[in-house]
Amino acid sequence: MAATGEANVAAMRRRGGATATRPSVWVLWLSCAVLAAVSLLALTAPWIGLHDPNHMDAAARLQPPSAAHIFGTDQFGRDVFARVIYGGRVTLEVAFTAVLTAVVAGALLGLVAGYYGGWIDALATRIMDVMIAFPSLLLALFLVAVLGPDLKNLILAISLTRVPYFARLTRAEVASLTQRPFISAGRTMGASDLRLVLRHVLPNTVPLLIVFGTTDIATAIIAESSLSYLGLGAQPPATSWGRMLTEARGFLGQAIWLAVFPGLFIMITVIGFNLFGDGLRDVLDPRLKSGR
Amino acid sequence: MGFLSYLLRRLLIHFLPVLVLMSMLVFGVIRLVPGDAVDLLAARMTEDQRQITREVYGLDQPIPVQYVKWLGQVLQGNLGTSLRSGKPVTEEIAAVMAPTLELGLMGAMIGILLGVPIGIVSAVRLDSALDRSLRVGIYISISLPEFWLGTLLIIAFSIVFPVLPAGGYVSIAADPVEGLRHALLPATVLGVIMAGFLSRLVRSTMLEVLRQDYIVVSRAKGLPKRVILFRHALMNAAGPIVTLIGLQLAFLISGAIVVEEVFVRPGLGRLLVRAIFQRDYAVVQSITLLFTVVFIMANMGVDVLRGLIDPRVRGD
Repeated sequence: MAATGEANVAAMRRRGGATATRPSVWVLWLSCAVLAAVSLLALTAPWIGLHDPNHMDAAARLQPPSAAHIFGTDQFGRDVFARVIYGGRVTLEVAFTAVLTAVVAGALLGLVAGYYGGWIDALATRIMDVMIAFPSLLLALFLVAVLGPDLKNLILAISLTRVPYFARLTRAEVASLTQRPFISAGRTMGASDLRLVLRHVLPNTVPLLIVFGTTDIATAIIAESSLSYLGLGAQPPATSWGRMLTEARGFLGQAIWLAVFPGLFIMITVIGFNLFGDGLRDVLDPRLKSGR
Repeated sequence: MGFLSYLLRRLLIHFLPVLVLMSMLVFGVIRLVPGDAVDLLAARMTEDQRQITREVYGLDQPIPVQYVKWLGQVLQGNLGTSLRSGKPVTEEIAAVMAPTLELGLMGAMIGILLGVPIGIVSAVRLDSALDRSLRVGIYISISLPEFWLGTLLIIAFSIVFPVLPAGGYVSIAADPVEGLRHALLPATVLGVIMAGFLSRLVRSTMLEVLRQDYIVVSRAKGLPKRVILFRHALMNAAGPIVTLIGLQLAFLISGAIVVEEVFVRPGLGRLLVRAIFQRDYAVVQSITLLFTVVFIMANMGVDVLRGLIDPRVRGD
């Protein structure tokens, strides 16, 4: 019976693992290509002959997409395509910086908590649990409101709400790594704590951090655009994808392209990072491959 | 007998610290920022008048003193006075409580009615064409920010096919038909995104349960599929599913903040955003705290339900 059960489980895992969770290979390449295109556009924006995103043209207000303005123009006659690309620079910069900060801070916290254990661990875990349970938009909203709406504070607020995830992740991984024989072997050979952590524990957590960091960029993009949508992100005349959607609100009846293009860019970029993260997980850390 | 002490332990160890921590954070951080509400409000006042205003609202006292006083007042149900409107905060909150509750409840209903069946079907029909297309839908729905989905729904159902209002609020109690019409789009936004997360979790929970030996046994002894699914699999998945639904509350709260903004719908979220821009301390504090309390109570409720459904949870 047990054998049948196991065989059955194995079969399910195979089915579940191979096709259920992993997007097929071409989807992965597609997400890669989309992300590369969006990032490349954002990175090279000043040099690829876009219209000036802040140039107003009273004669060309609210024009639908055309050859001259492929995404149309807004209520001030500004080129929507240029604004989407420049807005993307802001959104992506905020998301990347926030996640990177959160990964580094979270990994440090998790390393210390997981390696030393004891009351440091108990206290850190307690606080992280509280923060994870709490609605993160509410926390970020509150922080940006208090610190003042500008990009630096936006990054700080978003990354603060993400730190607990990486701390918890690293802590769990470190706690299980330190139980492994190679660590006690290292200790027996007289390696210092610092050396053990930096040379042996940390490198083993990196794949995990990369995988979850990538997926988390998607979350950070949603957070950035939500806060910008509420008016707490990039301040005019600068823009970001969320802010563009707010600005489009008064014109939905006459100029839906004002909302549709930034919205599409948010969506494909978020989906792209989600898919890319899932793909990376399979490549970098086969242990995480699960039949979800 | 273990159940009560389990609940008490959860309350003391898990929930009370959250509440205390949040109340301190909410109260403290806002006051560390240079420039208080009086400066912001009263450009026309003389320095003397400002000082008097500060004294009236107790803003001239040390922060810990202000905190203790405030906490004492909050515990008596006095949330202070809105600096903007001059009205008691309790009144301001009470005025917009109903729209947010209606939105949240309807959103949760749509989310559960969509999410749970989709998750179950997807797990039972693992790898079928149906499962695949549902999974694509789920993937897209969790990648949609609320304001983008909301904008799309407005474009579709208020502009291209003008069948539903694009915003505003009518009380469901006063006018059920109009009330529901006004709540439908915003609640759908919350519901669809919640369903995305929920169905993914329900699906993996169901897959986990369906892999258990006792399911294999009941299949081997020839029980009808219906019995296996409803009596054995669903019953055992119910505990985790209830927890997952409870955890979605955090999402409903942050979702409501954005959705109310999209649909220009009065509510706690919009009141909070407005108060944040105006640095209306009392209102920001109270709403954040209120969300925290609601959130904690929902989590407690989930614990009780779980304890009732699954006796294993109660033991230590």
